[in-house]
Amino acid sequence: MKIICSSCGKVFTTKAAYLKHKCEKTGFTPTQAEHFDALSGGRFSLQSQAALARGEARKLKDSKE
Amino acid sequence: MAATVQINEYNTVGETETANITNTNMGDTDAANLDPVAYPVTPGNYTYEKWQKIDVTAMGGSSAIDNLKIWRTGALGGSAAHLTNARETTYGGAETFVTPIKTVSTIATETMPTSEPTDANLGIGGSLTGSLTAAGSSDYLVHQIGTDGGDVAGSTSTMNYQYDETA
Repeated sequence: MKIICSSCGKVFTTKAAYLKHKCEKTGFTPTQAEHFDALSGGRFSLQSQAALARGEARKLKDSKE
Repeated sequence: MAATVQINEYNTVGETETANITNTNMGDTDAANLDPVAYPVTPGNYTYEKWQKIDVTAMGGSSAIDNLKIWRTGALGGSAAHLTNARETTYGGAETFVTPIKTVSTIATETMPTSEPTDANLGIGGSLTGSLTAAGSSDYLVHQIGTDGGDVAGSTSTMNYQYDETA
């Protein structure tokens, strides 16, 4: 198994190690929103908010049906 | 806090995982983030299949990720066709990885939607109604472009990978 961080190029042999690494390009781990915001110029947080809005809207709709 | 989500791509016989790809360029090499100018597909041939997953690296306090939708916006060049395993009906379940090929795919056989699907078209745990409640991944998304012998130019379009998140 080989996992490459597309951002900093580091190679890992386990998913756990990849998820724990602090990316040299962003200074954050791939489990932190800041990592994705740094790479996307803040667009990740906007996409995340939109995903939450869709999910919550569906939950509300389902609860009424 | 919210879930952190990325797109990963899997390549070569070793299923090398490139995490958080920066593009999904299609071409004549089995690699993530490829340069389509360096690896153009010749007219009449197929690109290498793309094998990708939506990967939730942390739930961030949310309870579920589901309703995965995949589509492309923007036209392809010439008479090229973009095919995928993603589909809203007759979904084939979770695919098992095989080395990506540049001949016609037997897995990516449905035309890639060019607008947002009504319902989920990529599964989790083999089901379109599946959900992730902890860090983990979707089923494989497999897609490929087939070109026509008369096609003379590539194109640029946008792939959309959408999920819903429940707090």
